[in-house]
Amino acid sequence: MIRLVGVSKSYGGGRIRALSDVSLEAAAGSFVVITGPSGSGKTTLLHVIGGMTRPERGEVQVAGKSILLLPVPELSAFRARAIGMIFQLPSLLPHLDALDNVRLPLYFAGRTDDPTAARALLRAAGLEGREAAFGHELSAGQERRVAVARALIVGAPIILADEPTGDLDPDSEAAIMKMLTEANGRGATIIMTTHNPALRSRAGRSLAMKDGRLSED
Amino acid sequence: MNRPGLLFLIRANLRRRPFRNAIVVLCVAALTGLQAAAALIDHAGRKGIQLGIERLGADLVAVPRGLDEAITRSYLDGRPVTFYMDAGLERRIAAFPFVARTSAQVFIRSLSGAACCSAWNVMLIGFEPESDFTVRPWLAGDPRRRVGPDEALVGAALGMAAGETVRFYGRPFRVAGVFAATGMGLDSAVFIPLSSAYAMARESAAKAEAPLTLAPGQISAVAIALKPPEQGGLPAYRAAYELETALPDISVLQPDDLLVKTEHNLRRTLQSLRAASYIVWPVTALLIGLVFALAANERRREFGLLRALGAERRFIFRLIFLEAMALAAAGAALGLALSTGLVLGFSRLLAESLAAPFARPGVVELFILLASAAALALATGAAAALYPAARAAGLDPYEAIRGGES
Amino acid sequence: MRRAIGIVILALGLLLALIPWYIFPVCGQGRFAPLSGKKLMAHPCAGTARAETALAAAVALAGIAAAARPRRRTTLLASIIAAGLAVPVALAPAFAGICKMATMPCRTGTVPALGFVAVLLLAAGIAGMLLASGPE
Repeated sequence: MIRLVGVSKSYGGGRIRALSDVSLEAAAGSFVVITGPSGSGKTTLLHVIGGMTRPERGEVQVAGKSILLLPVPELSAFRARAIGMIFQLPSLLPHLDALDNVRLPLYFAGRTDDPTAARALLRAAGLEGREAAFGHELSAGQERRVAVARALIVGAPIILADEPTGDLDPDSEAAIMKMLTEANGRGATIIMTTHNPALRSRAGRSLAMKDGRLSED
Repeated sequence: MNRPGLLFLIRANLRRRPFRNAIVVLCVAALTGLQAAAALIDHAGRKGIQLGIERLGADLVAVPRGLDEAITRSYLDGRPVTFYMDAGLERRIAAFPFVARTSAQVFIRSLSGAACCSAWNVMLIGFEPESDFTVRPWLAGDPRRRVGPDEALVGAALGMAAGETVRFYGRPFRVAGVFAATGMGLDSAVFIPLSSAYAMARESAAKAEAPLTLAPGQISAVAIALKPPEQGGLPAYRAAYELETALPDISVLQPDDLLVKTEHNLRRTLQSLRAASYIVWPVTALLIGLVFALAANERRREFGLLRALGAERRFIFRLIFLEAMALAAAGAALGLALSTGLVLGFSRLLAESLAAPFARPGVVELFILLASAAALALATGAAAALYPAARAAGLDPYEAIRGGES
Repeated sequence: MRRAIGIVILALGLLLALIPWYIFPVCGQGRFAPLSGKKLMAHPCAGTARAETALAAAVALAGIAAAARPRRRTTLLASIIAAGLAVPVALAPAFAGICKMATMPCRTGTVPALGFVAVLLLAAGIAGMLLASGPE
C-alpha cells in the first residue's frame, strides 16, 4: 500500500537534511508507529507520503500510484480521496465551526455532504453538543479530536497522524487512539508518529527515526 | 444547511475582517462614485444642451450688441435678463438674402414677492404666434393650435398644468401648454404673445405692485432661420459675421456658442472629478493588492491545510480572487448608488451651480454610464488581486503549513 | 455596535433638524418680504421645514434612547422608529407644503437632501434591526 525507496529531502538549500535515504513499506491495513525525537524528520516523512512536499530523490508509491509522477491537479484529488491527515499543531480552519470543519473534506473529495456522518464522528470523539463551537472555543484536546474526525470523514484508505496525542490529556489521548484503532479495524492503513514510546504497543509495527534515517524499532 | 465549499468559505472569510473589508469597499465606492458622477454630469450636460439647442429652433439669435453673453447665461441657467432694442432691426435682418424667416421676442422678468405674479423672478418671453417657428413645435399636444392673447405656454420647471391660470403683473393667462423638460434654463420660461406683453406693460401701472417699463416696438431678440445653401443660404458662422458687420447694433448668438459655454462651465468640475478619481484609482488598486497580499500571507497555513485536505490550486486562487471581487462589487454598488442618487437628486442644484444644463439620462443611457464605472472598479479589483491569488495558489502545501507555524 | 447605531440615528436626527433651516434651507428660511412692503409672509415650504423639525426630534430621541441603553429591545425599537420615520421624512414635502416651481431652493436643495437622509435613516434602521436580532 505504501512504498518509499531511497527518499531524501532537505531544506535551507541543503543545510538541513530532513530525510536521508529513507525506505519504508507498509501493507494495506497495517498500523505503523514511528517514534523519534523532535527534528528527526517524522513530520517531513508523513508529508512526503501524503504528497504535500516533494523529495529531492527517491520513489514514493501510495495505494498503487507513483505520487511523484502525478500532475498537481490529480495529486490534489488523490489527497482528497485517499489520504486523511492529522497535523501536529492546531489545524482547524478558524472561521468554520467543528461540524463544518469535519464536513469540509467531503467537498474536496467530490462526495455528497453528510452532516449526519460528521455528527456521528464528533459523537464518537466525545464532542456531542460541541458541533457549533469554533476552534478558539475548544480546548487543545477537543480541537485535536475534531481534526481526527475530519481525517476520518471521507473513509480514506490511508490515515497519516502526526503526533495526534502529543501534550494532550489522558481522556483525549484515549479517545483519539480508540478512533484510530477502530479505523484501522475497518481496513485503513495508519502511519502515526509519536514521542510517546508507550503507544508503540497499540500498533502492529514500530519504527524509529533519528537524524532523518528510519530503522526498525 | 449550507454546505462548506468555495462560497461558504468566501462568506466566512469576509465576515472575519469587517473593518478591513469596509475600508476596501469604501475605497472602491469612492473610485466608482467619482467616475460615475463625472460621466453622469458630462452626459447630462451634453444631452441638455442638445435638447436646448433643438428647442431654440433658431439657427441664430440676434440681441443688442454685447449682450450675447447675458442671453447665453440666461438660456443655460434660467435667470431672467431684460434688455431691449428697436423692432425695426427685425425688418433689417429679414431683408438679408440668406435669411428665410425671423421672429421677434421680448424678455421680461417677473416680480419677486409680489402677489400680482404667480411665479417670481422667471423669464417671460413675448413671442409672435403668427411668425413663430421656435416655440410651438415643442408643445405636447397639437402644435398647430393658435395661442390666444390671454394664453401662456410654460416650461416644465413651473410645475403647472394646462388649464391652470397664471398671473403676471396682475394680468391673468390661461396655461395653454407645458413644454417637456430640457434641463436648460428655458424650462423656467413662460411664453406669452408679444401683443399681450405690451398690453401687460401698459396695464401694469394700475394692476401690478410695480410697473413694467416696456414700450410697444421694443424687442429683446430676433430668432433667425437661415435658407438652405441651395437657396442662397450661408453657414451659421458666416451669416452671423455678415449680420454683425452690417448691423453694428447687434450681436448674433449661434447655438454652438451654448455648447462651447456649457463645455467651458463643466470643464473645471469634470476635471476635478476625474483628477480625484485618477488619484483614488491607484490608491484603491494598491490597497486591494496590499490587503490581499497581507491576507494571503497571514493565511498561508490555512491555504496549506486546504491543499492538504485536497483543495486544488485553482480553488485557492478562486478563494482569494472571488473575495476581492466580492468586495469590489460591493464597493461598486455602493459608489454607484450614492453617486447616482446624489447627482440625480441634486441635479437642479448642480445645474445652477455649474451654469450648465442637466438633462436626465434615459434608462439605457444610465445603465451604460453606470456599467462603465462599475467595470472600472471590478477590473481594478481583479487586477490587484491577481498576483496575491496566484502566489497563494502556487504554495507548496507543506511549506505553507510550516511557514505559517511560528 | 448597538450603541454605535444609536449614535448614528441621533446624528441623522440632528442632520434632519439642520437641513431645512441651515444646510439646504427652505426658501428664505420659510419667509419672504413681499414687494408691497407689508409684514413678512410664509413660503409654502415653511410647512415642510416645521414638519421635518418635528420628525427630527422624534428620530433624535430614538437615537438617544438606543445610545444610552444599547440593549436588544431598545435598539430594536429605536431602529423600527428610525426606519418607520424614513417614510414621512421623504414624503413630508408633498403634504406639509413645498413651492411649486422646480427651481426654488426648497425643491433644488432641501427636498433631495431630505430624501437622502430618509434613505440613510432606512439603512440605519435596517442595520439596527439586524444587530438587535443577535444575542444580548
